[in-house]
Amino acid sequence: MNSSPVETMEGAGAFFTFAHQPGTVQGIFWVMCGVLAFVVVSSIIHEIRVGAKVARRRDRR
Amino acid sequence: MNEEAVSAAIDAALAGHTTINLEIYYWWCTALMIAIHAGFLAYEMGASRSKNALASGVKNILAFAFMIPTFFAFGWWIYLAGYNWPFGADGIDLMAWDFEGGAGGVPWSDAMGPNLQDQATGVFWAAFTLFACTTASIYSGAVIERIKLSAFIITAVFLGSVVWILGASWGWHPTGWMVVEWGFRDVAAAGVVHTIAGFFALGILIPLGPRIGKYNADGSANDLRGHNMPLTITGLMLIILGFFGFLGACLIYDPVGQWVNIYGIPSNLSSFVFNTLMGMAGGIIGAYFLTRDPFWMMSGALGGIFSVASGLDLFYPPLAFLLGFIGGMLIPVAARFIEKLGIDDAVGAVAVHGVCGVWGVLAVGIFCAGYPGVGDNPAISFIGQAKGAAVMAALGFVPALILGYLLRILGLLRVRNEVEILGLDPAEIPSQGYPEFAVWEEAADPVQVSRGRGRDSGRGEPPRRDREPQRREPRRELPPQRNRPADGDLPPPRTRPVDGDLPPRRPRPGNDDLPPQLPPRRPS
Repeated sequence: MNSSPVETMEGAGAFFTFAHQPGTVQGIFWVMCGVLAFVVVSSIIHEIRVGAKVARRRDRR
Repeated sequence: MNEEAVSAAIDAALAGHTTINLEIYYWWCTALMIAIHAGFLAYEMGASRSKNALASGVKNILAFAFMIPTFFAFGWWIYLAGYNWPFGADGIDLMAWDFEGGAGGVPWSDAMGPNLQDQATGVFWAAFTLFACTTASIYSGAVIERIKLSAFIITAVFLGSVVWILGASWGWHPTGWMVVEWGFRDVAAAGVVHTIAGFFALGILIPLGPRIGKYNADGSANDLRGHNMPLTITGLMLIILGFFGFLGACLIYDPVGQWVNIYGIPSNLSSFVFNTLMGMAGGIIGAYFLTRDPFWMMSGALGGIFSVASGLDLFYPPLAFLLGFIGGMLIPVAARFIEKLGIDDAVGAVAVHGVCGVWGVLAVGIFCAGYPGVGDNPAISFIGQAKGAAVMAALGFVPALILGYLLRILGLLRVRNEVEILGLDPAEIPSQGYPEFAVWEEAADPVQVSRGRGRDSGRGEPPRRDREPQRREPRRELPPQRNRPADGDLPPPRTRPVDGDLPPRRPRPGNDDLPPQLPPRRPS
């Protein structure tokens, strides 16, 4: 388990305890990885669209 | 209280202070290293033309931001587990990771998060993360003004959280295979950070190609100068400040016993600072001697530090000065050579980091050969250092070349010509760096850039023509030049915008719109 201050785990609230369960911790980690991948993919798409837009504008001229 | 109890209490208090001081030491080293990134930010924005200044800044900021979570995700684990990879007991073994040793670096392990029982992992991870960010920033400057932001993020993460840290595990780890087999010595990471990052940049620059307007049709190179040299030079000075944090974090702090370097060999900050300053001074003077150019002088300061980094705790300080002097002179020579090969390194990163990194690793082999290693590890030797430098250069170059060509084939590496000509800021950035000054598209015209702003810096043989930019616009498509001077070397007259392009003039207030005048002062 990825512990937070380990001594304070005893008597912690239910949500805190749930958030620090091994499965939850791994889930949070993979969500972080997903966010990073999503941002990179969205950046790729954004750059393709911007490039096409600039090219179209230049062609019109 | 008897004597033993007093002694035990003192020991316990001392141990507590030691642990806390260790945390404090690396905390501030990490904080100081952020100055490296402030410096790279200023440096790269200043080295960009004004139409690309903010895009270069965004690239640098995002590299920093992506490096931290990815180094958490897998970079730290690679360092802990990869020191012997890919060599198993029976030769090459791609599964030869130390899974047991790397357990502490798994992202969901006890050590990788708040834990009162562990006061070391967090600060060491942070220092290494900032090392990783530094590698990405080193590479960042070389590719400004034409790489796609997404491609940069992918390549920077690959460099900082995979390639560099694998090299560190091999040659910057007490049990790394290069240390154990060859006695490789690189105490302040000239090889594992600078050589790898510099050659990684080279590996990406080849498939990326030069900026539009960098090379003329006859193969001669133009100097596409950045828009703010003072900002660039100030950034370089900030990088030097940050490197004091970097170099300090290369030592293992022990306030009670003897400080040791990353290999466990006794060392201290005093030796580090002697040679850092002397190497830096030598680098500045060497570059000044050869170029008289403040850009290269400040690059020489960095190159001087890297030239002595591998043996920072071993050199006699005047020797460090001379090594830095040679490094400072190597930089402009190497940069010119690379330019003649048709490779457009916008800030000289390959020369400053790659070449000086190799020089620093080799210098230890030349001047410190025979210095003993820890335990059964071999002593320092020139052959061991040369092989180590070659491995570091190849580790940076080859994966970058493969990844670069892969991204290029997929069309993800470089922005479109139209975007590059217009400028990345007006195309992609929703804010403006200099809103008072319009960025005219005409200013980005490759012909004007080549003939007007550029200066033919080609000396001797022109660069190879087979490396001419593939994405360059054919000359027949270029707009006709009006009012061109007879002498092609003269800059073209500034194009004044026609009235239709000017912003609407502010209406002048009529007399009725003026605020009421104060009554005349009465004589007292």
